[in-house]
Amino acid sequence: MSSVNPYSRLPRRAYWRTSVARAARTGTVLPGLWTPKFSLTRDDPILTAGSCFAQHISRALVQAGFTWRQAERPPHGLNDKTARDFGYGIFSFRTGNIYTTRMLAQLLDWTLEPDSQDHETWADGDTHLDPIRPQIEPGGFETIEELFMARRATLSAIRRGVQESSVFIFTLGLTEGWMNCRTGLRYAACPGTMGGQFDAELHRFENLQYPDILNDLDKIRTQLRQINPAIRMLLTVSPVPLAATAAADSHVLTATTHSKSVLRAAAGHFQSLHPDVDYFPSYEIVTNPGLNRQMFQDDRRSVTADGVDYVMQHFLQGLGIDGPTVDLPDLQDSRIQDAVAKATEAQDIICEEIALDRFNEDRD
Amino acid sequence: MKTVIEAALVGDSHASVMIKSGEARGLEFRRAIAAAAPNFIGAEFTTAQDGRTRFQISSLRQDEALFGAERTERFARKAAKLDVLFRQAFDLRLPIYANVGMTAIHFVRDLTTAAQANGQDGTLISARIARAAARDYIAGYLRFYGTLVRMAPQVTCVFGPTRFLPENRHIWMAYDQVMAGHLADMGIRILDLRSAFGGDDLLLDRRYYKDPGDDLVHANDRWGLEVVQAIRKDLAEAAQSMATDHI
Repeated sequence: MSSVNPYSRLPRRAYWRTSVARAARTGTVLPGLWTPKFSLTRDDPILTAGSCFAQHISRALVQAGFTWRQAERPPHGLNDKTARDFGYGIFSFRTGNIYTTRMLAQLLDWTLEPDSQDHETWADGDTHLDPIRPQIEPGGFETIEELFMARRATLSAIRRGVQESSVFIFTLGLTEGWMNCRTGLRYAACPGTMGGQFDAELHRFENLQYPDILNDLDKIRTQLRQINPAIRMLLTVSPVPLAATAAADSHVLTATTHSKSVLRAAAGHFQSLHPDVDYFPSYEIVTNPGLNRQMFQDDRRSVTADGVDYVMQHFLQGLGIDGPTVDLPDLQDSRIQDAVAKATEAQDIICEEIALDRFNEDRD
Repeated sequence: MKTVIEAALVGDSHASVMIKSGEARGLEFRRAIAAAAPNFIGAEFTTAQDGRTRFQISSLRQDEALFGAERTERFARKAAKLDVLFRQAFDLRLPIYANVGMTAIHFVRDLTTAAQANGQDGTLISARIARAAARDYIAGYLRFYGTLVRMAPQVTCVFGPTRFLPENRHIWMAYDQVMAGHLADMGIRILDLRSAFGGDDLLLDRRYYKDPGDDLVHANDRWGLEVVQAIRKDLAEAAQSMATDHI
């Protein structure tokens, strides 16, 4: 006969069978998956930044009635589609995807000290690309002055947005990145892929490790609090796999697992150190096969609309907020919904990293 | 002695400056159709039951709850007057010179004011974005000009005074470029006098500022008169060119 032990009074959520397996059978949300460390109401101004999955979060927050703060609004009169083409309305700022913690730390450095920003640009014919957000201006900036003028607007919007917001949601996307080994500039993409020219002498691959991510997160928290001491951070990890890996002798599957594991572990540990930092498990909800849901579209990278809804239902449940009535489709019907969602979203979610697949010549 | 220019001039307060300064020197347009810019914003031409083209101000300016009875009545009277003048100009088959929507100041102001309301500096945008915003902004004007092209033998547009600030020049020029490009695509001629009235950067020269009483928006009577003279010259050249074509 078993005696009373630490497992005997645990809630259902602590057991796989009564939480995950049950949710998988019923298609319902996982009760108690996320218990927020701090309150978050629909009136709290929220900022979003990070990798492409953060775009889903921005939109879902708006749909759920949260005060998603668009700190850098498009110019008056620009229609929604064109505004999105120019990088407005996707994240809180016109940053494009910020895939790594190092990129965000760099951007916040420049926000705090604009004079410290790097002035490298990428020439593209007669136009110029910003190496920290090469796709932000379709067709490129016509003058270098415009490029830095636009960057000044973004840095100013970041400062103002952080000052005026309660929560900064950052979605960690990748550990892999590229830098200029002379200047230390971190690029949004490897030079030569979306712009610029690759120079093996100058451009160095870096694959951030657990201590790097922790250090970066610590720096980011300090930077944000320099601007707004009351701001809180909510971390998520993007469930979207790497489009490609540049890690030596690596397979993209193991590189993805490695990258996401490092990010997940660092985010988890970092939140445990600070009462003003929380972690929301969107990564687990989307990627865990135990939930038995069709979370990815046919490309096995893009998250389905149903998947995003399911993630946001957990978000709202955790906050104790009734969401808008979102009818989760039966699992059998999700293919149809996915097909529709895929058609609409294929052009909609801007994932610069997928551009790397252009270089995939499908060779052995 | 009065000289009648066989054309209609259609425009806003800048056109009023042209009309007044021209008339002061005895130069009159066959039809002068001028009203403050808001009369043309959102205005449209409709086809009445009798098949005639009618000018209508925007529904916003017909909103009594917003403007009050007295002002809406005044707007309606002005609209009726414009409607008559347009019909006469169309019936007379007059060539039209117009400056409606040809002064970027409203666009620049709207853009910068909206940005300021959000704590942003509206001038920190690229020319490419400004052009994209301008393309949407001018949609109503293009519909307006679409009717003029259909109803008049020839439509020519003239720019208003280019009174930008150094920090928003690129936005102003982007607007001018988009507007002129779209109008040209519709077969409208552009009588571009900006360099005649300004320096290399096309900023209106100080000699065309009102002194005293400069409002940073309008130009003085000298500007108005010179535009009218340029229109007159352009009309004569166009007539001569047509005559040559017929030989």
